Amino acid sequence: MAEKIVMPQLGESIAEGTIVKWLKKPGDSVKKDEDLLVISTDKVEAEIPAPSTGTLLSIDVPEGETVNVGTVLGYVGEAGEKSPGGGGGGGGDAAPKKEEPAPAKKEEPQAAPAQKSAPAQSTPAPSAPSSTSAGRFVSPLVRRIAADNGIGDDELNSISGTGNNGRVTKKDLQNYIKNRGSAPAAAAPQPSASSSSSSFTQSAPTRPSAPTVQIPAGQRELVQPASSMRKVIMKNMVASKATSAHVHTFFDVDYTNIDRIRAKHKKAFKDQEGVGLTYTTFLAAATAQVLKRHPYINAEIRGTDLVFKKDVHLGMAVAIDSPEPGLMVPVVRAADQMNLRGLAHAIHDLATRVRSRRIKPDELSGGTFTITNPGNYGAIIGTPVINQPQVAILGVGRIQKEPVVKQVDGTDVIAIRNMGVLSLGFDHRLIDGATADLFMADLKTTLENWTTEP
Amino acid sequence: MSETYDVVVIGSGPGGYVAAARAGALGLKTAVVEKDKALGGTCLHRGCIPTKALLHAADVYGEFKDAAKMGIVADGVRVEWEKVQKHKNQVVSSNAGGVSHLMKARKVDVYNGFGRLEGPRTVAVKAEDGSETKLSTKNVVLAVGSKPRELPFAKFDGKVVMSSDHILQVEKIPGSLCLIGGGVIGIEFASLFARLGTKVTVLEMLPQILGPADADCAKALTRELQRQGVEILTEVKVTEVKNKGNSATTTYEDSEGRAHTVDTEIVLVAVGRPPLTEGIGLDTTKATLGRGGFVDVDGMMQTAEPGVYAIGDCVNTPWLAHIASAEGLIAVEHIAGEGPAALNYDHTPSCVYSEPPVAWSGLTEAQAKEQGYEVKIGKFDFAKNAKAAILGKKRGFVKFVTDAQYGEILGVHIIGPQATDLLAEPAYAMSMETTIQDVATTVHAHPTLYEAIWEAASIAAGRAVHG
Repeated sequence: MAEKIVMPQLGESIAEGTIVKWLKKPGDSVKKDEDLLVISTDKVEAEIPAPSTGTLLSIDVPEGETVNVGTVLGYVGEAGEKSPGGGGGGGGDAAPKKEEPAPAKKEEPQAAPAQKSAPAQSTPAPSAPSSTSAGRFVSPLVRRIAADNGIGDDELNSISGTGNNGRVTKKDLQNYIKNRGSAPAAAAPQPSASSSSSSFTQSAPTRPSAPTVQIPAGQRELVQPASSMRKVIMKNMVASKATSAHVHTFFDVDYTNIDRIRAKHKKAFKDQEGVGLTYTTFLAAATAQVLKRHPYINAEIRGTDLVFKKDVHLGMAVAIDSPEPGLMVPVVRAADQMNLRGLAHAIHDLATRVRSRRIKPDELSGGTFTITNPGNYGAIIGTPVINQPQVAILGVGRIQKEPVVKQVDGTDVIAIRNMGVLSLGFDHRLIDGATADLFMADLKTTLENWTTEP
Repeated sequence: MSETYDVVVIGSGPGGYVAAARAGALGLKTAVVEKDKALGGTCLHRGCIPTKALLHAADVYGEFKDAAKMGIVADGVRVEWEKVQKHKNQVVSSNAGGVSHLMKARKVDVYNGFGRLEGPRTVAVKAEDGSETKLSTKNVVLAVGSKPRELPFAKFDGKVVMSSDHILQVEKIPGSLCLIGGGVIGIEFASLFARLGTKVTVLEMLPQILGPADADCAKALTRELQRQGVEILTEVKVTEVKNKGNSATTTYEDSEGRAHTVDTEIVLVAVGRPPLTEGIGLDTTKATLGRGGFVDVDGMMQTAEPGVYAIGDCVNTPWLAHIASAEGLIAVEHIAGEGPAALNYDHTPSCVYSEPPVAWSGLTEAQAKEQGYEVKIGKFDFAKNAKAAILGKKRGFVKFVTDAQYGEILGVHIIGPQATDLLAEPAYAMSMETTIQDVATTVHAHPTLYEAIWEAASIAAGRAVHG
């Protein structure tokens, strides 16, 4: 009896996936739970295991195609069995005669019912129109204006619409074009994605290295298609700049207090917990605590509504370098309810699994605020891009000893202190300068007067 | 406090009852409060429905009179006004019954009495006998409507000086009628009575009748009404109405300041409809009133008081039943968390049931130019449309106002046979943001009136056939 291989539901918010690579050919024998193919969603790549032991009978969705969750991708059965999918392959012969991959077959008739029966298939709530729902209706007028302004389908899909069912109206597109044109003037130019959103977990052994590219001898340039992760990053970065009125504010922070606590517990902590007690742990703890007092920073703009979040779900930007350089933002849920030990474990666990590609898509969504750490590579500070639909992002600059003029008993003295700069990238649509600075001042005071020990 | 509702709707007009029915269907515990005896509001009892019932009688009478031209001779055709009124009243009462039935079907509780807010979460309903019921609710939709405006020098007596409410009940066809106000309401009555033999004079303050209509349509309708014997005076200012018991003398000044008078059996004042927002307890909430006493709302029809919504004639949007309904749906869908899209008022239709009828949606040619569009007009006369010739209704046109750059349909203006129904296609095209090229390349059946839409679109798209 042939068994279906279906596009799995990798998370609540995932509606479709792309076939990156089939690891087996039709006719190959497979073991149950052996990796059959690699798929990617807009959040992660994942290996899909064989549903049972037998022979891969057919490949019904070829590499590169994007299909809905629940779509039948192929069949595994007994050698010689005919595939019910009718996709190309080794029906009748265990050894495939063709070297080429099986011909593509459109899956629509089967995809529809399969999709209906898929569990936990959540239809997007109309109140929060998905800004990335591909394939939504685009009116002829919007299409013409988009074409005239060099806006492609992907970019159109990234614009949030105010029309029926979240449709992008002429006005939405005009606003988008207008804001797109003026956004860069509002903030300092963005050096690059990686300098603004870098790795955490200074202790992690797999710290990314500078990406390298081999340009073949005799060629002047190397052209390669962007990976799905890179496409998502490209889309998200531009969409964020187009959506939010980015502004940045900078505060210097004296970490001497925290450094003292850290130095005192570092070794014992590592021995007991198995993970490092990093500055990041303290920063996450302080940020989560301070966010509770500043609801405007832990918020979202949904259409014309302002949405304030009770939960603090902290996104932690993590740089990866394998199989290619990139960036992901796993989320520490309910960070405000964790102590330093809990946070240290949660951050380490997420960062490790991001790098080993074992992160689940749901762990990459739902953040209410993000922390990114360009200082990890020595940057004084960065001007990070807001992780939509959040309204603010904290950038952490390098921390180093610096001479600081302090007043002791009425006399100015030069002291050696552990100093670093924090930046807050915030959405000026919702957050006024004063609101942002009050949050930052609170965060600075909290960090400088930190007393909680792990 | 007897009950706790999810929504209490105050007013059961086309905004209120539609909102209540939808709220019921969405599973919200809903009540509707109505001060009149029957449900349906102005639209059903004193507006759209009764006027159109009377106007249809005039249409039928006109058809009989014109039929001889195509060889159908009906002798002795006459109007029996009491029966016309009776037909109208039957239409109204059967529709009101339908509204009551709908409320029952959707499990909406109906309270008779005057509804007033006592704070944002309580509605006090004062019944005719003076007893008061208090309803506790999570949300309120104010759909309290409007009433005819009275002029200080022309007090309504219901016999000689009338509002639209009064004239709908008039017992006989008046010999002469002076209309103060040449807007949509006034013009429909002018068209009704002129065709029934009344000598009608229209006094309009602005340079054209049908205020918001495209100038070409207003001009064409002026010509048609004048052909039917209506006297239309624009840019005049009424200064006095002398009610003499059986007739009235209306004094007006022309644009040069010269005074004139007109004697008529009836004076109909149709100069707008102020909102009925007094005494409804808005001051017990954070909701605010703007200019003209209209309730201030956002795109979701919500006032400054969360949970208190206002729709229809009591907010500053066009006085149209279908707009009130659309707004009511937005309000209750927002309450239910359905995430409705805000109404785009550039895409809402307006209809005048005169003869010939007029209908439009979107910007007029003048408005489009004012907003800086590079305007391209496509206009096609019904005189060149075969079906219009067959019907013997060759007067009028379809006019598209489009943007030359992207082919956006900015506005459409129709005057002529079935204009109010013909509007459907271009109004849908606009709301879907199709371009004029899409309309021009859609095959339209022959012979139909709506071929005129295709012809006008083709002209605007630069591929005219007969135009």
